[in-house]
Amino acid sequence: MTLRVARLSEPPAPAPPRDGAGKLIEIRALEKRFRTRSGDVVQALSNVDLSIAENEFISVVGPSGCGKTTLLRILAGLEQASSGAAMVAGETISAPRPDVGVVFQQATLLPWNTVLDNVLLPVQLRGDKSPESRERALSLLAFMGLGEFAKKYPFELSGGMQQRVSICRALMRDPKILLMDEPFGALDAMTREMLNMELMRLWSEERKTVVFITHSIPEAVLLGDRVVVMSPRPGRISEVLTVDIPRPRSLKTMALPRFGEICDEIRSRFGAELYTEIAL
Amino acid sequence: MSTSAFISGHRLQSLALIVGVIGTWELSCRFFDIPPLILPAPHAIAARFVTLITSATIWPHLLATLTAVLSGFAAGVAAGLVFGALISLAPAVERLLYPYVVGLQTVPKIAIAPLFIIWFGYGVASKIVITALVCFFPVLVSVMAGFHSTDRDQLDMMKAFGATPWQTLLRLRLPSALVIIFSGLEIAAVMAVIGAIVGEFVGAQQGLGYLITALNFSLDVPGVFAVLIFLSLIGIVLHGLVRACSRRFVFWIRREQNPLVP
Repeated sequence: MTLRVARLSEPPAPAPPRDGAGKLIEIRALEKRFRTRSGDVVQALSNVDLSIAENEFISVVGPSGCGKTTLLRILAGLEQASSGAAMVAGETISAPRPDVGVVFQQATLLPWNTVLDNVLLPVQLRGDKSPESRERALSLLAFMGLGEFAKKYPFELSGGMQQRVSICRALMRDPKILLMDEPFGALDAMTREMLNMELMRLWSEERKTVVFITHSIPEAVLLGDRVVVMSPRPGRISEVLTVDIPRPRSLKTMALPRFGEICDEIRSRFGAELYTEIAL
Repeated sequence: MSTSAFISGHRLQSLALIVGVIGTWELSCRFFDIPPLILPAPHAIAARFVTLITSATIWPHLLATLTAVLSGFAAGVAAGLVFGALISLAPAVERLLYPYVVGLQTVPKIAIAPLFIIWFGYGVASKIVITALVCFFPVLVSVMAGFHSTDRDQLDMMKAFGATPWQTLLRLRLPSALVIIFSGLEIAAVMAVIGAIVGEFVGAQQGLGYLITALNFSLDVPGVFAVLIFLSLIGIVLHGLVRACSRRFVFWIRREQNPLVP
């Protein structure tokens, strides 16, 4: 299926990379500290360095508390770095950017709006009520197999369908970057596999740069060009693995020996960390 | 089909219950020969209810109480919404005024009702003020709680898509708050009748509260009961209207039908 989604007639912002050598996302010596209620300082992210090229699919995997959600929130402009820098196209991220779309763990749809109005939200917030936007929203919904649900309300949809609507919403402004924070974590295993396939189809058609956070190692390996492995206390990148399995991938990819090897490599990483902790 | 049958089954049970209670009441009155001064039989109350309507004595009183209930409810709700919104939007207002609002609310309305009669007269104005005061607080609290109940993930979502604070207020915080605000309105609707009656008890020349005191004075106990039915009908209708609005405006809330504890 090669259905092309209607794009908004918007001139692409020409942002020549000043540094970072053509990398779309550049993270340098990023630190994030939180002060807890009791006054202690928690180091959520410590010395994170990462470059992400355009059109790259990056999976971030790690146990809870490893700071992967904090990293995504900084990229989304929802949190500020304590020190170091996170840049998109050479500009330091200081606030949410229009060329970045976010998919949250919960679908976070507005229950009083129809599916179509939920998808249109990002452009409506800019005062755009054009028929072109409506057209794009409808074609996005059709692309995600939700064509006949445009007039329904979120509570009439299943959890998987709600999350698909939230993906459509994130794509509404045709962002260069798609940030996804454990988007399928709350779904059952079968819906999750289906949405993994749909996400790969979407990525191959729309060619976005994706940062995909998950706690599932197979999901990270199946989807990613590279897998960023993070460790907790303090949250840091412990390894970046390149997934050398050719595309297109499918659910059958998971049966390949190489797939299992990469998953094992990541697991042994966690195992080793765990072992050190016990030994200490 | 099965759902409507289920609901009509429940309706039938409710109806059976009230018929049973009234039947027992009627039979006990006859069997134990209870004097009507202490507890009149349902048939006597029903007869009095009809004569109150046919003799047209009820209408001016009903009109006076309805005016007090509806105007007071509207005024109290409006004040509660405006003041609640102000407090939620400007934390300084909350710090400055909220303790005194709470302090004022702890004074029993019945205790200050005589003052309102002195200030606003024996007419309907004093009753409207007391009713408004009774309705104000539940609405105020519900507005404040409502604005603070916004889901954090939804707030993040609005921010991530570039919403301004005003857009977040109108498109997210306000609709989220409606669910709790309507609970406040339901409480206010039921309390409104109490407010009006309190005012009429303390000093009035008209109204159902006044009628009750008058009938009580002439030992017309079936008459008192008949007026109580009118009062309860006002409350039920007003509450029903608020409920209907709530279903219309917060349609996305699916009320849990199952029991909390199996």
